[in-house]
Amino acid sequence: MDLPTPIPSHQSATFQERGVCVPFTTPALAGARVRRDARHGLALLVPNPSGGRGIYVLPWSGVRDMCHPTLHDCMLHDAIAASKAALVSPGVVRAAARRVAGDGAAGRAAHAAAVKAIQIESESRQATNRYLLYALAAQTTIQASAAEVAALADVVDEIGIGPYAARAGIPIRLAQVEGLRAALAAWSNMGADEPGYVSLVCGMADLAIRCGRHVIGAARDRVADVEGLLIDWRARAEDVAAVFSRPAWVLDGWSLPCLLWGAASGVVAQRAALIEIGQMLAVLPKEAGHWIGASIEAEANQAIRPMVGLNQDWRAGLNALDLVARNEQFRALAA
Amino acid sequence: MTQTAQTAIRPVADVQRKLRRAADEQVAQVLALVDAMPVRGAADALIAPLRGRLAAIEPIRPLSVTRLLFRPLDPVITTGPRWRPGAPAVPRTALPTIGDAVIAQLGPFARSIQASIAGRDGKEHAIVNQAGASLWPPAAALLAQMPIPADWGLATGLPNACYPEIRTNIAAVLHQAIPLSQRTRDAGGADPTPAISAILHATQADYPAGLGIVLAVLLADGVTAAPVLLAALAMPGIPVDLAVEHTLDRAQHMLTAVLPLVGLAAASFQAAHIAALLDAIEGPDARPTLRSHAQRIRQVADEACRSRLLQALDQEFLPKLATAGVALDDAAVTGLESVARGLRRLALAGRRFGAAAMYDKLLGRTAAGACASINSTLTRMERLRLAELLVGSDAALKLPAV
Repeated sequence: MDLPTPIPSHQSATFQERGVCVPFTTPALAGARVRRDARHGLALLVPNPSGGRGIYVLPWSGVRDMCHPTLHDCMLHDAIAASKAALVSPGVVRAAARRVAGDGAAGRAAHAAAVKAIQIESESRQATNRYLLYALAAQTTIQASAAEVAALADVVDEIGIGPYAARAGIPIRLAQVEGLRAALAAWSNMGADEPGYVSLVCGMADLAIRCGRHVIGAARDRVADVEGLLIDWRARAEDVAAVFSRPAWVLDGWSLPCLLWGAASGVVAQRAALIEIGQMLAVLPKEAGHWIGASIEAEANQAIRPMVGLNQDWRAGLNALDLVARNEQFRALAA
Repeated sequence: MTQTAQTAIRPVADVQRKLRRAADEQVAQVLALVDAMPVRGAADALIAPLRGRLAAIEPIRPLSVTRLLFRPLDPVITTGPRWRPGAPAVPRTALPTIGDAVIAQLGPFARSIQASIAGRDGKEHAIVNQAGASLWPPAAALLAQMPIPADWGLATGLPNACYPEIRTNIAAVLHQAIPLSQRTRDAGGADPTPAISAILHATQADYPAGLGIVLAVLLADGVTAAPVLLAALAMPGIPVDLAVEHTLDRAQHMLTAVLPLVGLAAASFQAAHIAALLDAIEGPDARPTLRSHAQRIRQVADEACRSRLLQALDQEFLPKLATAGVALDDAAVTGLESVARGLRRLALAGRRFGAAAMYDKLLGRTAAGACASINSTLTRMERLRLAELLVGSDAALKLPAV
C-alpha cells in the first residue's frame, strides 16, 4: 500500500505554543489543538488538511468555514473558551470535555461515561487528600489547614499516589501509550508492511514514554518529601502545580491513538488506524527536553500528514457520519 | 400441479413472503441457520429470492472452498434466468457444477485449502485473500483447459454451447483475482489507475475474451469507476460499452428490486456507489449512448432513493419517535439515533441523483418535528442531537424549537 510520506514537522518551543489536544468528534478536526490567543481568545491549531507542511491557526469562525463542526464540538469549544483559567491546559480541556459529554452532547454512552469519570476522579481526590493528611501527620509537625491540603491534593492527584495510584489518570494514560508501543512493535514483527512507518510512530511513543516516566518520577519524588512539598506549595504554589502538570502535557494527545489502535481489527483496519494515528500526533516541543535534561530535537522532527487521494472526498459525505459516530463511541471509552 | 405438491410449496412461499419483509439482521440470522444445515435441500429455495438482497447487505457467511473460489466473481454473478450469452456475467446455476469439477481436479490441494479456512467466514478478508491467493491462480489455469462436465446440461439448465464462454469468463477473473483483491482492499487513497491498467493489460494478453467481465468486476466498485473508465477507454479493443451497459443494468436491478427491501445502511451504501458510477459514466469523456443510459438510471435512482427515504420515515423513524412519549432506554435512544443517521446517509447519497432540495425540505421538517415534540421524554439535548443527525449541526441550531 502507498502510504503518505513522512515530512519534516514543526517543533514548537513550548507546550503552550503547541496547544492542547481536544477530543472533537468532527472528523476534520482530528488531532486539532487549542491554545489561548490574544486576538481571538482561543485559537485552533488544525493539521493542514491538504497534506502539506504546517498547521492552520484559526479562530473558531475560521474552523466553521473549513468544516461543519458537530454540536458537541461547538459546545466543547464554547466551554473551553469560557474557562476562567489564564492558560488552556490538558486539565482545562478534560474538565470541559466531561462537562459537555455529561450534558449528553455525544450521546447517552458518553454521558454515562462522563458521569462515572467525574465520580471516580472525585473519589480519587478524596483518597489523595486523606493520604496527604496521614503523610503530613506522620512526617512533620507543620500544621496544615484542610483547605490547603485539599488544594494540594487536587494538584497532586492525577499523577497517582497512595492506594488510588493505579486508578489515577496519568499512570493509566502512560500504560496505554506503553501498550500501544508494544502492540505496534508486535504488529510490525508479525510481518505487517511499512516497518518504517511503524517505527516513526513508535519513535514518537518512545519519546513520550521516556519523558512521561521522567516527569512522573520527578513529581512523585516531590510527594516523598511531603513537608518540603507543603513548604514549597505555600511559597510558590504555581511552580509546584506546574511540576505536577507536566505529565499531563507530555502524554497529551495519546488517548485517541490508543483508542484507534484498540478498535482496529484486522490488518486493513490496523493500517488505516496507523495512518490516522500518524496524522494526529504532534511532535513534543523543545520544552520537554528542558524538563528531562536532554535534547529531543533530533528525535522529534518527523510527522505524518494526511494525503487527499484522487477521487477522495475528505470533508463531507457518508464517511464523515460514520466517523462522528465512531468518535462519539471513543468519547464513551475515554471520558 | 397435484394437490400434494401445492401443499408442500405453500409453506415455503409463506416463509419467503415473511423473509421479504424481515429486517436485514433477521435475514442474516435465517441465512446463518441455513448455512449451518449439513444438507440444505429445500432450504436453498427459501433464500433463492433473497440473492439480490444478500449482495447488498453482505451478511457473514462461513467460508467454503466453492465460496472462496468464486469470491472474485461476486459482483458479476447473476441469476440463471437473467443471464444472457455474451453478457459480462456468470449465471449462478453454473457455479456448483464448475466448482465441483474444479475442486475434484484439485484433489488433495483443495482439501488442504478447506482445512485452512475451516471455521472462518467471508468477512475475514485477510484469510480470504491469503487462501484465495493459493487457490485462484491454479484454479484459473485448470479451468482454462477443463472439458465440459458430464452433467452440465442437467445440472445447470444451460445449453452445452454456453460452457466455453462461461468457463473463459470465470478463468479470466480468477487469473486476475489477486490484483483485483489487492486493489479493492487498498485503503491508502493512492491513485488506483496504474493497478487498474495492469489488470486490464494482463487480461488482454492472456484472456482477451474475458476483458468485458474483468472490466465489469472493476466497474462494480462504483467509487473507483472513474479511473477504471479512464484506463479502459485508453486501451483499444476493450468492450467498454458492453461492460458499462451490464453494470448499469445491475444498478437498475439493485435500485428497483433490492433498495426497497434492505436496511438504510445497505441502501445508502449501494446508492452512494451507484452515484459514483453514474458520475464517472457521465464524465467529460463519456460516450453519448452510455451517457443517455446513465441519465435514465439516474432518474430511476432518484425515484428509488426518495421512495426508500419516505418508507424509512413512515415505517422506522416516526413510529420510533412516537414511542418517546414513554421513557426510552439507552438501546431505544441509540436505535432512534441510528435510524436518523441512516436517513441522513441516504439523503446524502440520494441528493447526488438530483432532488437535493426535496431531501433538505423533508429532513428539515422531520428535524423540526423531532425537536418540537413536547410529549417526548427525550431531553432537549437528545432532541437536538436527533435534529443534528437529520440536518446537520448548523441547520439544527436554527430550528425554532431549539
